[in-house]
Amino acid sequence: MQTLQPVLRRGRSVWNQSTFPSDEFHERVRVVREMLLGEGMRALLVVGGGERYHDIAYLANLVPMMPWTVMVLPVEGEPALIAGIGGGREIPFIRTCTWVGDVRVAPSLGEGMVRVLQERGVTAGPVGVAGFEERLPALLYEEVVGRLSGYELVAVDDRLAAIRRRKRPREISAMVEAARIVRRAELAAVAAFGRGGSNVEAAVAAERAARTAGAHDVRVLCNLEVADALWPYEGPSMVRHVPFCAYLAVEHEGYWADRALTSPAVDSERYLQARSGLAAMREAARDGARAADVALAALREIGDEHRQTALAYGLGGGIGLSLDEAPRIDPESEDRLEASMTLSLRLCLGHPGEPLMLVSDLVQVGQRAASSLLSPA
Amino acid sequence: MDVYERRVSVLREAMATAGLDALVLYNNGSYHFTEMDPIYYLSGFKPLGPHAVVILPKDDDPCLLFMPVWDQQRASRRSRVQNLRPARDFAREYLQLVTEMGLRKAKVGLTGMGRQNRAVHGLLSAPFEQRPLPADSLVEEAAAVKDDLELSLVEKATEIAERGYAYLLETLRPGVCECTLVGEVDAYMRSLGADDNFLLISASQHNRAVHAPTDRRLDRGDILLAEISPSFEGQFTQICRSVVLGRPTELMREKYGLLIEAMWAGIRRCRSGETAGAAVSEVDRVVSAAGYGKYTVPPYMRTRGHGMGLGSVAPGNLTAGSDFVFRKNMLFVFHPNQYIPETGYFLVGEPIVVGEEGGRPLTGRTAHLDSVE
Repeated sequence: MQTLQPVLRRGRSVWNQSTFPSDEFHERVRVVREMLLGEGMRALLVVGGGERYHDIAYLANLVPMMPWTVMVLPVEGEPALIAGIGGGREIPFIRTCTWVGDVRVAPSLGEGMVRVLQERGVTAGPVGVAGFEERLPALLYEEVVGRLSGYELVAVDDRLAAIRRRKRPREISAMVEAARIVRRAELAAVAAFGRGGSNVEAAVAAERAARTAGAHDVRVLCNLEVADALWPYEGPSMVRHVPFCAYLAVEHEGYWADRALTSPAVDSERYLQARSGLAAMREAARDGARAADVALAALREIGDEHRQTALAYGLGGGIGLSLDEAPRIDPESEDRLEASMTLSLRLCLGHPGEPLMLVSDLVQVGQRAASSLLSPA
Repeated sequence: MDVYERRVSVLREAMATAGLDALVLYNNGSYHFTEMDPIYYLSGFKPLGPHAVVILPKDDDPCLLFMPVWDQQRASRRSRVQNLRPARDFAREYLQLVTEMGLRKAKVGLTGMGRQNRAVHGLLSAPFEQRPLPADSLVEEAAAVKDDLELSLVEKATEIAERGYAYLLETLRPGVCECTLVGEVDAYMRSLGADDNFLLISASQHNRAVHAPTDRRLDRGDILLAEISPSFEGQFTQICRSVVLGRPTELMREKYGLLIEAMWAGIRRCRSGETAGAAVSEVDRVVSAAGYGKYTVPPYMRTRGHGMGLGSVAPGNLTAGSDFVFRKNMLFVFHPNQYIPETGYFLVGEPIVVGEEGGRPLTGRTAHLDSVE
C-alpha cells in the first residue's frame, strides 16, 4: 500500500540484542559472503536509506536516518558503515544501533567506499553492489561509480532479495512483535472511534498507541474526509464517517506489520464477501503456489463488482524489512511463493460514494494454508 | 491574484529569465525536512508517490500527474492545479501528457534531481528532444523569500511546537522512556494539526548529541534534549530546547547562558544584506571567546541553522564560510546547538525571519535552560 512517508522515523530506535544477537548477523553475513565468493566477488557495497533500507538492515541491523548509508562488506575482514558525509555528530549513537564496529563518516560517498575497500585490501576486481540503481540519485551515481572505476561492479540486488525472501526464525519473531503493536494501534483507534471520536482522532490514537508501544515508524490511512477513500492525516477534523476504515502499518526494529480494518464491521454482504476473499487467499498462499493464483482466489470470491477497487488498492504482497517486498499478489504476477515468506494479504471493497470495507491478514507461508502472525494485542 | 497564482507567476518570471519553455517538477513521495517540495508548494497537494510531476508551461495551464489512482479525490480537493491526471502507468502517461501539451521540442527545466535515480531521470528526460536542464536552484532562488501564506503557516507551526514543548514539560518525569515521551508529545502535536514532525527527543547525564529515542528511562540529573519540528500544511518550523530533570547546576546555567548569548549575537546579524557566514561567525566568536573554539566544528556541532521546507530551504545550512546574503522575510532555524565538555551537548535554537535590523524569532518564549523538579 502506498502510504505517506514522514520526514523522519521518530519512534523507538534501538538494537535489541534479545531479538537479534550478534550471531544472527554473523550468520546472515556468512550466507551473503558465500554468495559473493561463489561468484568471484571480493566485496559487497550496499547503499540504503529512505524507504529502501532492507539490505543494510538485514546485514547491519541499521535502519538509516540519513538518505544514504553504505555498508562495505569484504569477503574477508571487518565490514564498515559509512553513515554520514562530513560532520559525524550522529556516529556515537549509530554505533549503539549496530553490531558493526567500524562506523564512520566520509568526505564523499564514493571516496569513502574506495577508502574502506583499499583498507581491506580490495584494490581491484569484481565487487557486488546493491541499491546503487534504485537509491542513488543520477548525479550521485555518476560520482560514486566514477570513484569506483577501478572495480568491476556487479549488481546483486536480486541475489540479496532471494536470500532475504525466506524469513529466518528471529525475523518472524520480530514481525510477530510488530504485529502485536499494530493490533494495539488498531484497538486504540477502534476505542477512540467507539467513544464518539472523529476519524482523525481515531487515526491519531492509533499512532500514539503504536509509538508508545515501541514502533519506530507508523503509517495510517483512513476515511478522513470522504467515506470512500483512504487519506493520510493532514490536519484536525471532527468529521465522523461510519464505519471507520483504516490501513495501519507499523515498523518495529526494522520489520513491518500492517492491518486493514473496518469498524464497526457489521455482517453485511460486503463484509462477508471480503472475509471470504481473504480466507481464499490464505488457503491459496502456500509453498510453490503462484502469487497470481492467490490473487485470483480472492477475485473469484468478491466478484466483478468489487474487482476494480480491490485491484486499485492492491491485494498485498511480501512484507518484512520493507512494506512492499516481492512478490506482489496480483493476477499478472509471475512469482511463486516460498515457504517462510511473509505476506500481507488484504482486500478493500467498495463503490464510489459508499464506505469502503477493508480486511487483512499478516501471514507466513508454509506447506499448507498460510498461518496468521496476528495475535491478540 | 492569490498566493498560488503568485507562485506560478514568480516561477514563470524565473523561467523567462532562464529561457525555459516549461518546468517539470518531480517528487517520488519522499519528503525531507531540509528540502523543498515544489509540487506541494505550487499545488497545495502532497503526493503519496511513487511518482508525481507538475508540468508548468510558460504560457499554458499547469498539469499534475500523480499516483496512486485511488488518491484522486484528495488531489481534487487539495490541488490548486486544476488539470489533474491520476496515472496507472506513470511512464506511458507522462510521455502522453508531454506530447499532448506540445512540449516535445521545448527547452525544459527539471527539478527534484535528488529524488531521481538513473531510471527515473531517464524516464523524465526521454520525451524531450533537448536534454532538460537542472532547475532546482532556479526554483529555490525564485521562492527564497517567503510569501504571506508561508509566513502565516510557519507562525502556526511554531505555535504548535511551543505548545508541544509545554506539553513535554508537563509530561516528562523520571522513569518515563524516551520513546514513550516521543509518542505522547508527537500525538499531542498531531491533535493540534502537525501534519509531520522532525521530532528528536533524548536524554542523558552527559549528551553527545540529540538522537532518536530509545528505551532509556529518564533519570534525575538528566539533561533532556528536544528538537521539535512540526509542519503545518507542509511548512516546517523548529525549536531546540534543553531541560534538566532536577535542579540545574550553576555550571549548567553558565554554559547554557553562553550559548544563549551566542545565539542572540548571531540573530542580531540575521538581517537583510548580511551574509549567513557573518551570523555564524558571531556565534563562533562568542563560543570561542569562552575557550571553546575547538568545539565550534563537527562533530561537536553540525551546523548553526538551516532552511526548512515546504518552500525554498534557502539559505541552506548556515556555516561560517557561507556567503549567502540574507533578504527580508527569509526563514530558517538559527541554532547554536553545541557540545560543551563540562556539561555535554545542549540544544538552543529559534525559527527566525530575516528583518532589516536583525532576525525576528517567531517563538513567544525563546530558549531557556528549563528544569523539571
